Amino acid sequence: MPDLEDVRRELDRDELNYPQLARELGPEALPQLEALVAEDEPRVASKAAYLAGVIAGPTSSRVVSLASDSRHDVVRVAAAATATALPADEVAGIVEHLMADPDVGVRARAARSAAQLEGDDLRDRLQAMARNDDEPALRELAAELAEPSG
Amino acid sequence: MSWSGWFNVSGGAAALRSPITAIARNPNHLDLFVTGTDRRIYSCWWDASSGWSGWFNVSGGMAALGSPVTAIARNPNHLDLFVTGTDGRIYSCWWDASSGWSGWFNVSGGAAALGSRIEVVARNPNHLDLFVTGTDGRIYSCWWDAASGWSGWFNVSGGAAALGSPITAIARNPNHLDLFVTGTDRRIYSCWWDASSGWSGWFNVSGGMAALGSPITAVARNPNHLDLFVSGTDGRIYSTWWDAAWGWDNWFNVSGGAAAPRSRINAIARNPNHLDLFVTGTDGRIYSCWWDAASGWAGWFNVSGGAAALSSPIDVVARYPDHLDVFVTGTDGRIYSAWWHQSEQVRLHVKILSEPTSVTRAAMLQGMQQVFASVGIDVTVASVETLNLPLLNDLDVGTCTRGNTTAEQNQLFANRNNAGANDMCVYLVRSTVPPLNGCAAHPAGRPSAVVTSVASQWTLGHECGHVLGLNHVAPTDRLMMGGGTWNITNPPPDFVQSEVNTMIASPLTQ
Repeated sequence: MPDLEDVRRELDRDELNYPQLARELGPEALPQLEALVAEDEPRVASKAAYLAGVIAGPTSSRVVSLASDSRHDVVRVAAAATATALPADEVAGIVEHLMADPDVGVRARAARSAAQLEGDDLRDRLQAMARNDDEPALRELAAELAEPSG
Repeated sequence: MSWSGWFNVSGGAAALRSPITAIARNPNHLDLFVTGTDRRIYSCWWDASSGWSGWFNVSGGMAALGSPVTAIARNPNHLDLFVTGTDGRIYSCWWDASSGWSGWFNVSGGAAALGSRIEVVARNPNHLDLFVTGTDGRIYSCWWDAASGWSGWFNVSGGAAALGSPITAIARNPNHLDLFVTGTDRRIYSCWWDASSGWSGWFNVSGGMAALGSPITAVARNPNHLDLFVSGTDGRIYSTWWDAAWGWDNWFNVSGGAAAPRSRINAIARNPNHLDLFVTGTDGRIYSCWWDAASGWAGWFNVSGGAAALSSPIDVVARYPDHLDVFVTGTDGRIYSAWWHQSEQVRLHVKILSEPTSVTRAAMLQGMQQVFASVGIDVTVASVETLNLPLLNDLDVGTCTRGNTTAEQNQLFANRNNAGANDMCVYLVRSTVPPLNGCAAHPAGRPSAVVTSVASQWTLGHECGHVLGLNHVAPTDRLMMGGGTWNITNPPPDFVQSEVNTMIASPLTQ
């Protein structure tokens, strides 16, 4: 099992290859990733949250859920983005929660994930966003995403 | 490399801290003046056609060790020199292309403490104004005019300063003079003369203070603007400016710079939108930094490893706008020179979606400029623009691999206002998806990189290095290290020559 500092060092790069890192570290790293999200340092916590989703292990959705409650916008953005790597039934609630985030960037990323995850509740939420969001550009994006694909 | 190494000028030597005066009568010629170790006044010259001459004593002149010799070229074929002689009298001599060197003569009976600097300004080719602190501590002036010869000395508006205090004079236009001096109460004073109104009284400049005798450096980048520089009472390097539209601003520390009290900060405006400063730092190393209208103040950097005794003045001449020659008496008492030539440049256009939170934007730019300048590549911030694109502020960068870009990257990188084909655009975003500190992947024909709000001081330079063709390396003291620029050891980080060659070969290095 990799130790916390090994995982931190792997994450604290300017550019990362997440799929490769997920293969190298595996689900054994999820406790360390959860600890790094909890540490509340946005530079590493955002990367830890995203990697947890890419690993798609048994506790990944718990790490992403923790990140979705971070006080740092960039960590919540990472949670919204990585949710698409996990089963929809595990993360639909997280994404719906982030679609109501006070930050427009977080809502936008959650909306994109909602469109990928599909599901009636998320589609209803997208349609509501298309009607009611405060940000005109996001209303437009949500309307496009809510359109049935194909 | 933009900066040359230091070299000894024709075997010349002088007492430690001796000022070297350099003047360019034309872009292909330099004349140097110094008081040598035997107290004789020496000159030598450099000409583009013949190189450096040997040193020769100027007309038998002598002065106390370390005495400044001031020189001015009223026209390209004429030089006037001024010095306080070994008897404390103020002397001048001249050189003219038609007649050679004259003998020395006392200027209108003037006298000053040994080693006093005689300031001289030519408001027009047929007029000289001199300024000096006299033996009674009062500030004196006299003038020479081609039509009437030398005037007598007169006290300027009741001004006074400690014995030997240098007076700085500058002519923003032919009918105006501005003077600057550290007064007897250590406050920094100015007064002016205008052809229409005569001499003003002295006034304290923005509350500024300095040690007794501190030289004030003044530069007029244009006729309606002055920049002042001084080493303050706390040993930090300060500047303020005056603009005809706004008046005087407050003093501010220049990029964290420091120097021993009374150090002369030499400054030059190679063009109206650029300043270069030179000073001997508190560690005895020779430092420079610059200000550019587009990018503001850069950080200080050591010039080619140069060193000198504390407080040694560094004289600088710009024979043309892309070239600097600097001169100093080194720690071994030999006279050294180095030159800078602008040969390589990377032009950045900064597009702001989110300001960085981990370090300031200025620190990022300074970090990049510092590292690139060390290998002779200037980083010019050609424009700064704020983009209101909230849906691209957390940018999808996909795999962030060379040549592969997402729809969001393509949409963002289409914003290239002001940028030429070989200019780089850097987009400051809040975050990327997936989370990275930066990403240099860009579509062909749109050289670009993104840098996120959690990036380090070195990430900007690192990503631009990728855009210029560089790959990751293992050593942790290199800018391109793959282990994360937050973890760089022994900063500032380095390039190796092969990386420099790659960057210079890039069409983006102009």
